[in-house]
Parts: sequence; C-alpha cells; structure tokens
Amino acid sequence: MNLFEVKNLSATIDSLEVLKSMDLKIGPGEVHAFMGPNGSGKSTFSKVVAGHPDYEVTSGEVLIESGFEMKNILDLEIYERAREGVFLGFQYPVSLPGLSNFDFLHLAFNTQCEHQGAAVLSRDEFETLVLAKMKTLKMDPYFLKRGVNQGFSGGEKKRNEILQMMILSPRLSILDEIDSGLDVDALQVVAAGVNSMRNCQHSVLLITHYQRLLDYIEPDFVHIFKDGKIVKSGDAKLALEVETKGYDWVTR
Amino acid sequence: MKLPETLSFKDFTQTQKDWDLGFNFPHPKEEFWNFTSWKNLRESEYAPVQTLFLCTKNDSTKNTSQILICDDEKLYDNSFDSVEKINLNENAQVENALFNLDFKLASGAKLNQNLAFPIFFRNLASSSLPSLHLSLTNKTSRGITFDLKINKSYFVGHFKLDQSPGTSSNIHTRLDSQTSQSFIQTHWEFEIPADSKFFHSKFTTPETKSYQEFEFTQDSKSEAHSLNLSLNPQWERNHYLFKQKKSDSLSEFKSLQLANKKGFSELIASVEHREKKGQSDFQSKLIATDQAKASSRGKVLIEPPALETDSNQQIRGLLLNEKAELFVKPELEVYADDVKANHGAAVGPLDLEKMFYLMSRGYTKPMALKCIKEAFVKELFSSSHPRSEELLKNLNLDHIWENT
Repeated sequence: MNLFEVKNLSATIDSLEVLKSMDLKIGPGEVHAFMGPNGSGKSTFSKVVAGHPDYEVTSGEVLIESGFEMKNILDLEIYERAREGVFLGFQYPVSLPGLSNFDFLHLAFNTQCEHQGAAVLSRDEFETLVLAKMKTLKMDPYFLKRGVNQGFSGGEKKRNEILQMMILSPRLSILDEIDSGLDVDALQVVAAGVNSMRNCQHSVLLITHYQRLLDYIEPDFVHIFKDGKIVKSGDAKLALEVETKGYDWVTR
Repeated sequence: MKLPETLSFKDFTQTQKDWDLGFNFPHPKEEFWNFTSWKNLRESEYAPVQTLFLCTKNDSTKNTSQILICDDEKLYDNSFDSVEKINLNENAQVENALFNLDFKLASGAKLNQNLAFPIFFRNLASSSLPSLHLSLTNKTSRGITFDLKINKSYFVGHFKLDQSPGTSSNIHTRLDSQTSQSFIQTHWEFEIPADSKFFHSKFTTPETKSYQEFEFTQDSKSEAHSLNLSLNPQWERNHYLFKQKKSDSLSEFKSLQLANKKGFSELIASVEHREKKGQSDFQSKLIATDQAKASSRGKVLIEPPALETDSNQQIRGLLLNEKAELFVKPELEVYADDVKANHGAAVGPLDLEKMFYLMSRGYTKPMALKCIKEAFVKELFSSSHPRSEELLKNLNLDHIWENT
C-alpha cells in the first residue's frame, strides 16, 4: 500500500489552470524529488496538497494512508491535513514576531499529540525533546526564545523548518526548495536532518532546482514537472541528466 | 474662570469638531479649560468637590495614611503633608489646593513597587465637577501606582512629579471610569532630571471615556520609558509629549490601542529633540474591529542644535473588520544635519499567509487567529520596561479577544 497518492489532480487559481490531471504515488519511506523550470507548478502542487485557500481543486483526489486505508484529504481543513501527517516545509517561511519559537513548537507538538491520543508534554519535557533535535541540526538554543523566524537568516529559517518536521513527525514531508539560500555546511546539516527521518513511516517529497541537494539526500524517484504536470519520471540518474542537459530535452 | 454650576457629560458632546478625522471632540477645551501648563491651571481653575478620598499606602512599613475631604472647609492655596486629613462638606470648594506629598525615606529604607494612591471620588452627584491637583516630589521612590476610579460625573486631574537627580522612578497610572456617564481628563507632568531613569505606564480600562495628556521634560543623560495601553475605550484621546531639553537623552514610547464596538481611540505622540545626541524610539500598534475607529500620529521634531539625533518611529495597524477604521501618520520635522530619523507606518488586515503557516502546523483557525493577534501585541512588550511583563499578564488577552 502506498503512503501517498495523487489521482487526476487539477487545480486553478483565479480561473487559471495550474495543475493538470496530475498523478503520483509515493510508497512508505520513499524519497521523491520534483524538478522543473520556474513556474512549472512544483510549489503550487505543495500548496494545493497542504490546502492553501488561494487554490481551487477542480478534479481528482489526494490520498494519504491512515489506519491501513487511503483517506482523501481534499475535504479536510488545512490543520486537519497537518494532523493527518502532511507537512509542508516552506520555501519562504513567514516570521511571527511576538510568538516565541518555543511556544509555537510546543503548542504545535501538543496539538498533534492530542490528535493522536498521546500524552501532551509539559514545557520542561518538551524543552528536553526540542533541545535534542536542535543539537542534531546544530541550532543554538537561543532560537527558541526568539520570535518565530524573527530575524532568522535564510539558512536559519530552513533549519527551523526541518526542526518543525522533526518535532511533528509527519507521514509525508513536502520540502519546498529547502536548499535555497543554504551554504554548503548548512546544506549538509539540513540534509542530515532529513536523512535522520528516513524510515518506513515517513516519506519525503523534495522540490528543488539543483542536483547538489540530491547529492546529500539520495532520492528513490525523480520527477520532472512542466506546465502543471509530471512529464517524465525516473531514478536518481534523471536528476544528473537534467543537471547536464537542462530541461528542454525532457519535453522536446 | 468659573465653571457652570451644573455640568454633565452631555454638555460636552457634539459641540466642536476637533478631530482630523472629522469626529466631534466632546470637550471644547478652549472654552472651559486650558491644560497647556501647570501654571495656567493653578491660576485659573477651581471646582467643587463633594467627596474626595485620597489614600496613601506604603506596604513596606504597613502604615496607612489618608487624606479625606468630606466636611466643612474652604481650602485656598493650601499644602498638605501625606498624613493630613482634610474635611469638606458637600458644598465646599477647593481652590488651588496643592497636595505636596514628599516622601522622606530614611537611608536604607526600601520602597519597591508597593506605594499606591487609590483615589476614589464617591457619592458624586451628576452635576458635580471634582478636580484634583497633585504635586509629588519623588526623591527615592521606585514604584508608585496611581489608581483613579471615577464614579459618575466629570473628573479633572492635574499631576506633577519631580524626581531627584540620579534616581530611577516607576509610575503607573490606571484609569477606570466606572459608569458610562463618567469622563476623565488628566494632565500629567514629569520632570526627569539629569542622569535619571523614569519608567511610566498607563492603563485605561475598557469602556472608559477620557482625555489624557502626558508631558515628559528631560534633562541631560536622562531616560524616559513609557507604555500606553488603551483597551477598548468608549472614547479616548491620549497626548504624549517628550521634551528633550538637554543632550544625550533617551525617550522610549510604546503604545497599544485596541478599539471595538463603536469605540474611538486617538493617540498623538511627539518628541522634541532640542540638543545633540538624543535618542527616541516610538512604537505604536493599533487593532480595530467592529465599527471602531482608532488613530495614531507620531511626530519627531529635530531642532537645529540636535545633531547626531537617532530617532525611530513605527506605527502598525491591524484591521479585523471591514467597517473598522484606522488612521496612522508618522511625521518628521528635521532642521538639523547629521541625524537619523527612521519612520514607517503600515495598516492592513490579518496576514493570511501567517494563518496558513500556523494552520499547516496543526493550529485550528481560532488558535491561529489568537496566536497572530497575541504575537502582534506581545511584540511591544519585549522591551526592558519593568512593568512590561506585569502589564502583559494583567491584560487578560483572552478576555480582550472575546470582545475584539
């Protein structure tokens, strides 16, 4: 049984069709990568799956495995999709000055615990958990006291996204250009964080422009996206081909 | 100038357009009062007082002293120590009464944040017009709270605080007009001497109608920090003025205005940099919902001698309803070279991308909304103001959001 499936998904924004009859299957523990030229619909896909209100789904299903059944999440609210295990790592995370990163993470974590019927953690218990995760990501504990993404550099924001992923333990993580703005060291740290989450309970969909991320997170499948749909799929070698030949040869 | 024998709040309404926004200012101040200076007020104003209860309380010594006006007396240019008891009958008049409360603390005496002036006007007839002129010489105090509760009628307060050089003071004023007929007008003057720090905070309870002026006069190397909290007033105007008369002064002002229902809240905050190397930082935030209207105007004046001034004013407004209105206007008047004068203003609805971000982490819509509004508010309270945390705690944001 797949962990995540997309069937015949089409979506519009302001009457403009941006996803066109898209299909995708992701098995448990698999890492998929979306590549494609700018404006091809990669990020749009991630937002549609997460439930962004700007987009209207005109057809299709988005299914996630839940209790050995495939559940369509398109009828769910944004927060319900998150609680079902869909995590979106933002390309441009917003900042929330005034809301401490710790409080933000703690509430998100406990909300998820409650949804799963697990015991919530006290502040002290949660602090122990989050500090251990931050150590993996080589994040300064000081970032817990700051407002969410307030004054964070590009790399710090991306690490914070991965920290949230590690805290919330989703079923499917869609990481939208998680490598943009990262230096080599930060890229390795972020990749190590993602790799630490590779297991049969968690699948990953990477959206990227560059092969270099895939040097650190080896994908099981690579899909080339163009004009709102997948035009070619393959294994990790496909990304290498794109790196040398560009996208034109794929669609020619 | 004598006041009319009978005066009620309705006499003040709808008489003069005093608002840039086109609202009617319910109090034609030119006609009745002149609050431009302490001196003018003392020379020209008097008012009948029926019952004035002024209580000073110092928890560190467990002694309570009171000033009580309730029996036959006519007071004229009198001065009273904090332990005096003053009695007036219901027809008595207080004219230019000046209460000099001079706290002389022995060396080593501790006066933390325990000194309070709960001032109650009780049993006031609707026609009464109480006023209070209070001058306080503050030599060593650290924490003083003025808690004004006004029951009925129109109240006028005029307060002046002198602080000894080299000290650190902390003044908190809380206004509570307890009935819908009450209207409170106060004027506060704070002299901040050289090398001194002054922390001020002001809190107005919901449904209040008031007009308040705060004037801070700063000597060299002095610091003035002020927090303004206006919570869903019925009608409120606050006027803050910081005068940096000498060099190396610092003025920090943070303001939060919440307006709901058909409430109106206006803030005018100005700083005058008159000498060099002054610093000022003004942060104003507004949230309006229902059919409320709120405005915030900031003005930074940098005079020719005020070289190397570093000023910053930022105004941020959040509109939660299509019918609510906000008006923001940062102003600059710069007559000196070699200065920094940052300013900015922004008004907008709720940021839906923030909502989406929080909801994508499992927050429900109400949870996300609450977080965004609280974050908007809490950002103001990250300052080093000693009352900051306490005020935020006392704000009871949950209750406020229910009404916003």
